[in-house]
Amino acid sequence: MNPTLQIILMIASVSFFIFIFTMVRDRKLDIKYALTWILTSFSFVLLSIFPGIVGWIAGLLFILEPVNALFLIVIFFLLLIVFTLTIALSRQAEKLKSLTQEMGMMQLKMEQQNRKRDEL
Amino acid sequence: MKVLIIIPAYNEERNLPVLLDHLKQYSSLYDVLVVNDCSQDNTMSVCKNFGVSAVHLPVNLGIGGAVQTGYKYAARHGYDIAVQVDGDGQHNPDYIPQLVGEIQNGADLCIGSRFIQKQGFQSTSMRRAGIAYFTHLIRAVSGQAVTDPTSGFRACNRRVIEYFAKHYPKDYPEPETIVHINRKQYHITEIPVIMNEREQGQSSITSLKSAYYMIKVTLSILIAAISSTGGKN
Repeated sequence: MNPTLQIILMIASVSFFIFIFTMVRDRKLDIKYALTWILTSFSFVLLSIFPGIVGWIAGLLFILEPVNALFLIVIFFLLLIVFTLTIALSRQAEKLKSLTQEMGMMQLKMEQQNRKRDEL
Repeated sequence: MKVLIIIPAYNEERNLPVLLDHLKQYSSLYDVLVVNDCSQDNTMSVCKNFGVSAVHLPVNLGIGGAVQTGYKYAARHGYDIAVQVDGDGQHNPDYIPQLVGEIQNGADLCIGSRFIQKQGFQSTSMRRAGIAYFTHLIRAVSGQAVTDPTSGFRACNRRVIEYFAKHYPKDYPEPETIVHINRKQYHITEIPVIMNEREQGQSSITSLKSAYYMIKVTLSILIAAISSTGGKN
């Protein structure tokens, strides 16, 4: 691989890794979701330092062009992340629904209590 | 000195009555708040029957969210000291006066450790290995020596209550919070306690989740060690 490209990729992937760490540290990103991103960005750092890994994976999968294997890897990670996000979203939607229902019922309870108190 | 005992409970219909009964003798000294983490069993009716103050969460938040609810309550109602006691009966309330005493003597956070005198329920060897690992990790990154970093049996004072009310991890909070408190240069002590074996029901940490737990908590501790001391948000 072109050494200039490799250096650019190394700087980019390390910066990304540091960026994620900073976001978690500043409590802007929840650690649970950050785990997948940390794993992904760490893999990219590894790949940029040892680009031979991409060639090796390409060989394993009988892919002709190593760069296509890189695309495959990146797409794989993206799919993984999006999928975990979808799962998390589903859970949040369920919790939001429960909360909304609770709030609605609590409001009714309050109105009923106020009415009872006004009657007394 | 207003003292609040925070009892997080998830599906503890069998263990909670025993604990609440035991706590009756301390009712003139300490207030109790049960945080019912959306239990699926009769935990709610147990609370109502005992007439104990309870927050029944409409959605399950996990141990972190449940305990933080207790700290928010403590902060809002002006408590000076908060004591965490697990709802599963593993923590013996008779140690509460000692924990409270340590706080009154100046400690910011006092942890009831089962590994100082190594008596009572010592947990499985797998768990002990994991706990030893966290003990060393915490010491390595923060210099804080703690023998039982996963113990949820702890007491803390007003400023820690206010900190926890605002910042508390959602999952496996015990080891990470030690690093947070240490980073704020608060004083952490421990007292030896004897814990009981969990009598009924199941623990929330299964062996399946152990690997995930180890990685996640390790990462959380490392990040906590380099964190700013809760200045933002």
